[in-house]
Amino acid sequence: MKALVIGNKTSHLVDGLGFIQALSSETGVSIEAYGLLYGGGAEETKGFTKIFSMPEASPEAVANTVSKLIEKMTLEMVIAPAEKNGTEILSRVASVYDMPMITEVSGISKAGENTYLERAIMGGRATALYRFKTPMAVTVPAKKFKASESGATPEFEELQVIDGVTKVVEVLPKEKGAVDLEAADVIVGVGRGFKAKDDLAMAFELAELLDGEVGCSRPVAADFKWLGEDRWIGISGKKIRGKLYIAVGISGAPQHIMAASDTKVIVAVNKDKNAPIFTFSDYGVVADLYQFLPVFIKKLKEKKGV
Amino acid sequence: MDIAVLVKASLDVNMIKADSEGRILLDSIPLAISEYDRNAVAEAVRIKGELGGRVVAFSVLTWGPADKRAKEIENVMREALALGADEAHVVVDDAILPSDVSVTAETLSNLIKKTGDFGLILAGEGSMDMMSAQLPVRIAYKLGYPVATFARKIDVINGAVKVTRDLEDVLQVVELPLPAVVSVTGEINQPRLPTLLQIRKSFAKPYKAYTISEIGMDTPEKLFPFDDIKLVTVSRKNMIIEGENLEEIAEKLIDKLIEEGVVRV
Amino acid sequence: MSHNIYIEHFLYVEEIELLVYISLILGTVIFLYGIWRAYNRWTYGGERPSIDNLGLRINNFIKYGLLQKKVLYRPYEGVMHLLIYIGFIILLIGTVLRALEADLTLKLFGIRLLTDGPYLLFKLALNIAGILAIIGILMAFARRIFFKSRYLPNDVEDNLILFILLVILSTGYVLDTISTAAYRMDWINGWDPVGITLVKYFSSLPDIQFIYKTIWAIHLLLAVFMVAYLPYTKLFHIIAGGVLNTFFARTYAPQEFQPIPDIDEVVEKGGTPGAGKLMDFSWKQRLDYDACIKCARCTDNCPAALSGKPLSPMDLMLSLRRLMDRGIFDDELVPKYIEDDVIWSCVTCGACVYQCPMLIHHVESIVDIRRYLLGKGEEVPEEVLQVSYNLMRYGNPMGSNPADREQFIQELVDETGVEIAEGGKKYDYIYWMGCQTSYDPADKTIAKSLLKLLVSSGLKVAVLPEENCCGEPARRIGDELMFKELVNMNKELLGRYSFDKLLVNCPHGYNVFKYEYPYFGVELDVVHHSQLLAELISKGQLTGLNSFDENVTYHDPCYLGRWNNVYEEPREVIKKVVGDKLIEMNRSREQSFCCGGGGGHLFFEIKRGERISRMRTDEAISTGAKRLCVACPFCKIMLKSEAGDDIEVIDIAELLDRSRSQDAE
Repeated sequence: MKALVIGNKTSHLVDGLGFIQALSSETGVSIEAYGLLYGGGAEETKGFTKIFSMPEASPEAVANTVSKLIEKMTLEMVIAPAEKNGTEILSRVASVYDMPMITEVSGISKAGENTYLERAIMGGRATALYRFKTPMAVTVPAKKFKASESGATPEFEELQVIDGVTKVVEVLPKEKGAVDLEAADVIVGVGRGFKAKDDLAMAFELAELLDGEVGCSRPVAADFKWLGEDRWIGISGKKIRGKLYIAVGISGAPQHIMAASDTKVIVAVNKDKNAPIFTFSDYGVVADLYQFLPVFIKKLKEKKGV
Repeated sequence: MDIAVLVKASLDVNMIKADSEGRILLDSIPLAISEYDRNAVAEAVRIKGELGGRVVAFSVLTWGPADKRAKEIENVMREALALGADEAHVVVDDAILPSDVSVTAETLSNLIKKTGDFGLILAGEGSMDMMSAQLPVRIAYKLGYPVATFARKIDVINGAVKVTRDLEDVLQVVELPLPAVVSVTGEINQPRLPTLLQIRKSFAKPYKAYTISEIGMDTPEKLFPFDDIKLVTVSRKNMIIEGENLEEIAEKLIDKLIEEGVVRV
Repeated sequence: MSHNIYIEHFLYVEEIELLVYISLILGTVIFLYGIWRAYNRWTYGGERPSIDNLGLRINNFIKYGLLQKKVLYRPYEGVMHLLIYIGFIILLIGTVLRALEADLTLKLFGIRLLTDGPYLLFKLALNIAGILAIIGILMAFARRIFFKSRYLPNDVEDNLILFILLVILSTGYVLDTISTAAYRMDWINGWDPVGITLVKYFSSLPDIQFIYKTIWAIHLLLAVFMVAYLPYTKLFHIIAGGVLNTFFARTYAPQEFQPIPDIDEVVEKGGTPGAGKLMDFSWKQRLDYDACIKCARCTDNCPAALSGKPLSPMDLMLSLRRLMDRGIFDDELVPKYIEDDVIWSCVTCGACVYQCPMLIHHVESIVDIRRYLLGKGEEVPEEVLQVSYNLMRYGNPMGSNPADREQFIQELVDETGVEIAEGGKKYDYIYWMGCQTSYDPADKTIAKSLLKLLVSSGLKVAVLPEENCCGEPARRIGDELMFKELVNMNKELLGRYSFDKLLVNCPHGYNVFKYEYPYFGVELDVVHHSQLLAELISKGQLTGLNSFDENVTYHDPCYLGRWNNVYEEPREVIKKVVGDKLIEMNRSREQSFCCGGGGGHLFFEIKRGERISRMRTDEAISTGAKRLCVACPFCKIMLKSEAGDDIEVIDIAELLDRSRSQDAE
């Protein structure tokens, strides 16, 4: 079976390759991997038979080009990064071929004869398992499936862009506007466990590392006035529904817990092992935040290589 | 210019019910308007305020059974009407239930074609229950219209639409000729929540439900028959991370978060 | 005796007697116009006063009008007002009698009403009345100068009126003294103590007739025009408040908020229920606005005002009155004339209603305005719309998943042995848990403790497999349509089961089931858990209770205490396990200060000034108590969120349960 991984960064190709390898090992089917990089150079990624490249283009143009390629090469799977452009491009390709598409696959599992692709649904509160079959389009999140980059060195080929009606007028930098906790994917929550306003710098550093925002419990905003009310998580403050919430030094007042309950993964760091927040968390760390946070930040930086 | 807006009667993610093994009891979960579709309705109403025309809301019932859900989808559409849509058309038919995204797209495109000519078709970026984020594109291809996704700003100018797409790192502004399909993000506006009273008042607006044969469709084939899908709940893990020292705990935690797909390194 | 005992009318002033008639006629016209104007503005739109329940109305008039029961809630101001009130009542009666004699009986029939003994008594009574009134007025000045309450208005009108009254009284004594000197020195003796005392200062004055004439004219004109302008000044409270507002007082309990009978019709016609404009209020509500005497007792006790929110119940009443003055009946009130935050700041704690000596129901008007705003969906805080929306979609104000409640019910069955109610079985009590106790982690423990206690004491009690919101938050945020829907749903739900009493642990549910459901044909015997626990204790049905040796304090929930007069039972429950270690907060019982969570405020907050919950928690902490006992799930959440480690917030059921599960501390 032949599968094509598309993306505009080499890491996208590696992520897709990881998925292909995982799928191959689960199903026992050998899959030949092809890559397509749009925009950016075609770096050598071992494990691909061939890597196509094309210049940066609108999602429509990329999809047109990919669709043409599928027809030419009889590909049975197309894989794209679970990002907005990847999603649009793949939706287009899936539409052209009336192919099923599984968005943001988070795991592969086996039940009996069948292999299932897993993805989070219902705001992270449930998982859907789709029986794997071909043809199929799949988007995969970054770093989810680890690839072993081995094997032959790929060939390269440049493709002609097939334009569409969409005109890219301009690309603008994204300004960091006002804090919008409700839209943030990752939130580091700070509470009474912090002893001074200056200490919040740790939380901001952590949030920045995770590409997230800092939120807080009521006392931090209302009593100490260390942070603005746009950062206050509570029934009468902001309700959050991101992917990750790390509650640091927050014991978990009821209104706070309710307002955070839509988050996919909740982590609590608190020195009091009886703090109610632990009951509502996925992962808990019982430790003094002043000792734990610096270590956590250091380790995270090491992993990220910053 | 008339605007079509696609509204999904989504499973209410706040009302998940599961059996003791975590299998989701689909029939026990009520339907609710999909969150971003509210943004789409509000945006359609805004554009209508500038350009005039009608805002027509469309939906297809995707979760059965039809007889039980017919009232629920109407309530969902009444909410869209309460937000300012002028009329609502839906397809309610057991023959397509539970629907998949391809069948939904096919049905919606037929319904839209049957109802009128629309300069712009708006939809939320994805539905709150399945969040597969592909329906707007599939509809566009069925209708043969250009499409842009994840809009946080829409400007209609002289037969074209300028869409500011909210990408991960940048804003990409694209221009499409009309008629076009555009999916919107939650950031595009802040729709107000309708009150029961406004919903009651929306009962004065036209609402029509069709079967697939009434819109000239045969039973379509699904790309993903529902037998091939399993849905299970996720509950809080309540796992305390322990270790010899803080370094070890931190590492374990980071690994868990990477595994969960919520941290990227 | 050279003079028989009677009054010499028009002494020295016969040539200006006409002044009496001119001023009286003019004064009457001004007065009647004022009354006519007031009546018209009250009945604007055509609604007419109702005099059903005449017995109750007369009773209310006597109790609150004549006897001024509520004025006396505050000792100093009560006495102050009573002195002025009694003084002027006697003076009024005296003046009327005298006028009757002078202008009617004597002129037409040559008959005198006041002679000999009765006259002497009359003279003495008026003497004393004047002194009482003067003391009262001096007390009023003293209050304004030395210990004015925080929100008591103190402008020119307030002081001028007191001053004019003082002038009328003192000129009266001057006239009295000169009259005594003129013709009754030899027989009046002690019957005119003031006159006799003062007479020496006047006997040597030159041209006493001129002085008398001048003072007489001042006294007459001030008195007549004071009455004439009564409908235009704060003194109108005598009629609008003391007489009319007590007689026409609401014949339902103040905690029964009223339904909108034709709400479906209003909505069907595209209208918005509630009060958006002055004309939308009932005639009685508009009478309320005129009845206000600006004593500021409401605002002085209002948690919203005291915490720095923009609401002052008194100022709201006065703003509405000013709009009546200006004839603005058909303009939308919010936000042009009244800021939206004013309306949304109210926690519906009822302190204003309890305090008001004029029986004004401020909260009713506020809720009516909320009804209108919510209906329009404008000038409503986003979180309030969310509450309304959650009720519509989830049947509870938080938007919690009803499946979580099912799970919790199962947990209760496993841990406490309580039954899940089944149709066809008969129960002593159905325990209505309510939304907070069903869903909020901080309150779920109340249900567990309570059920453990009840099941062990052998009561036949069951929990419902499903519940909707009782509707209280819907009603208090003004979502009347939703409220009606919830009542009908719960009517059907409760109708499936057979039980004697409905047990609640939430005072909000208690109030709404007991007083507001009957309007929809749902009659329930409702018991609050404090009442049931107290009863079980007194009957010895709760055993194994140990005692705690630490100080606790108790917070009276507004909807249990002030609105419903349940003060003793929760205290009995607490005292059972702490004995005399119950310390009261400064503000307790009727004076209790809201936790900040009423009126829907558990779910939203007007982020201005201090937080009411913080203020109340600080008050509790300042008692030095280790625990803060509550009897309301709203209060528990609000106060617990503030308490941190400083004080433990605990429901009375949890306190009892805890005392059983551990040995005495």
